[in-house]
Amino acid sequence: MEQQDVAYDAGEYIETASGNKVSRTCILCGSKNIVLNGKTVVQSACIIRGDLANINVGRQCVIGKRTVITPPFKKLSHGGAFYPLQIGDNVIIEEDSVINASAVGSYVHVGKNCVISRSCILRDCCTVLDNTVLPPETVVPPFTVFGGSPGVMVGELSESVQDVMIEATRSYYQHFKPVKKQ
Amino acid sequence: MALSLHYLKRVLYSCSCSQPAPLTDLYFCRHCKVARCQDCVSITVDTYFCPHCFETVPVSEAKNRKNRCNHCFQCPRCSSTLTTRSIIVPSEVLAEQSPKKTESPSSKSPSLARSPGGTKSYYLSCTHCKWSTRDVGIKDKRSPIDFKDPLSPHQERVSQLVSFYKEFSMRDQAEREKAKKVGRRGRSYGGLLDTSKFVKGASSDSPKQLRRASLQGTWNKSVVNKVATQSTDCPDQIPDGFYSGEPELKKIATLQQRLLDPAHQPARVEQFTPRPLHLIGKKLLRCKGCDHILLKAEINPSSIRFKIQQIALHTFPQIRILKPPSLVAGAPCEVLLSVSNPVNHVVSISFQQLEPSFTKGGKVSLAPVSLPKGSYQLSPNDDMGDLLDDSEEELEGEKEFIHSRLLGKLVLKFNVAPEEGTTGEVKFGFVLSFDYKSTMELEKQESSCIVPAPVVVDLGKLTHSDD
Ligand SMILES: [Zn+2]
Ligand SMILES: [Zn+2]
Ligand SMILES: [Zn+2]
Ligand SMILES: [Zn+2]
Repeated sequence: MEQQDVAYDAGEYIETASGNKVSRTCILCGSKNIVLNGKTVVQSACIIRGDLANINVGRQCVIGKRTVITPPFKKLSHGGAFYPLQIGDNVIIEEDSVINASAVGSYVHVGKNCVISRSCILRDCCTVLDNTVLPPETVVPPFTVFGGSPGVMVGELSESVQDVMIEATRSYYQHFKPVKKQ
Repeated sequence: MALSLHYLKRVLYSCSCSQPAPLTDLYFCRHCKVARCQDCVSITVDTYFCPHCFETVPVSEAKNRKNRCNHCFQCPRCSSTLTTRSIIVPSEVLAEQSPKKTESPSSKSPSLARSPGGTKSYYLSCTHCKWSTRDVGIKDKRSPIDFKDPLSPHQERVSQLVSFYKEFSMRDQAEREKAKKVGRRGRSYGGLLDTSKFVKGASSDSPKQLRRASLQGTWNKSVVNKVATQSTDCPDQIPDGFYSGEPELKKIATLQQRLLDPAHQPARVEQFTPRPLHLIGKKLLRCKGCDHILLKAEINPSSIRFKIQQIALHTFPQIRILKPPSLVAGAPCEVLLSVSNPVNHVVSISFQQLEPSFTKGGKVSLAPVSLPKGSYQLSPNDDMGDLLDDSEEELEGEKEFIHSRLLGKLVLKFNVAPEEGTTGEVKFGFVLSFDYKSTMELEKQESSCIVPAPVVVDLGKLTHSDD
């Protein structure tokens, strides 16, 4: 099925010069440390913790409602530190997920209600199913599907996932349309 | 979130073996000019790699490592990946004694082993269920690579049998050569199964050979006796209270935990050992019809690029349902389907009814459909959208059936009449034929041929008449 139109209240979203659409209800802490590289949609009530470390989100990503993105914390011999988080291009993160990964590659699909724990690494072209809890320091290799709690490898992705994700994110952005409220 | 991604299975293309699959799961052989599904390709493993540390292991070596990584381990309790923890043991204290200082996560380089005030020692711990090698009394190691999978208790027996069959195959081969019998030579899946020792004979007649050999008395009985299974009069004793005692459910391993370690099958949690992580493979796919390579990935395990990638998505026009149609039983309903051009040149398409034999054996009943007549041309799918307006008039197609034209995309009207009494999903099918232009470098001139693709579209349930 083609992507159906997703209507949003024109007053709720801010559109930046590079085409990012960010809901006004999002909590962007330390917004000067948050970089959205263009055509990214950040939906209602997301929390992005740029105050802890830099967060760089690639092009044409979709971040669902109420998702929390926090940079990873690393324990060191003397205290600890937050490290920058890089999210690749054409990434979809669905509603109510918590992302605390070290790195998220491109063409990644994270389902609803997931917990991506501290210092996980999601490589390019992988999928995390709905309701998955990835334990800390899990590595998700390319072309794999992780699911369950604890999240383990449950399947493989077809080799066309890159084209599928580009198409899915592009059409979502095209069909994410404002509606004027009277 | 309603993503187009969730509906990929609504439109199924038929593979050349008539198995339905979403377009994204199919491959296309340029030589046979047909779609190939997972069952119509032969899969070999190009290289193995560890899914955690990404170390690549050549196929020849993977067998020696039992297809497992040497450095990464799985939790025996919850099967997530274990992490290496290190502690600093003050130099005056022996390594066995209790830890004193802070832990730091997964510092894997042994160069750090010597730090001021003591030596480092390592143990494995699960970040999910907090199981650690200390729970089962495995001593901390001086180096993170010192953890080893304990030998299988059946190791000796297995090596006995292996050497027996080696000897057997040598005898067998000598006999065959004597008889000057030339066996069939199958294709060698060298990496998958080491058939080199048995390659002369098809595996199906080996037991026959064995029987004949033993009947003829050429096979020395004493050799066989050495490895033959011995029967015993006293079976293994069941511990006292096995049936009558209170079960300690927290101490007994689940079936899944037992089978994680097939060699030992620990019955109790005290017997758990860290499980070496399974390697995963990069696949090499070949067409079963012509043996040409359809898919070859780059060797680097973290790379997502391919040296050869012949997927159907790059060749077949992709059909999608434009929006959920309203379906009323017994009445013709207009269904809008979009057809996208995957390539950057004009592609002609046409539609034919499915052969009646298509659904004969299957359980699917397809609704009758009237298809767009004539042939249509899809505009090239490239980023130069400006060219679209000029060339639109020249593109072929019956206006009557065209809903709209987009860049590289055409929306067509289909008329589906769901039958009265349809309870499940309304499905209809047709054959999509498109002209495939071969761009193989070997054939200098462009050749073109018509490729038919049977497609079944699942429209979902009937719409209730009251809405
Ligand atoms: Zn097939
Ligand atoms: Zn490894
Ligand atoms: Zn565990
Ligand atoms: Zn072929």
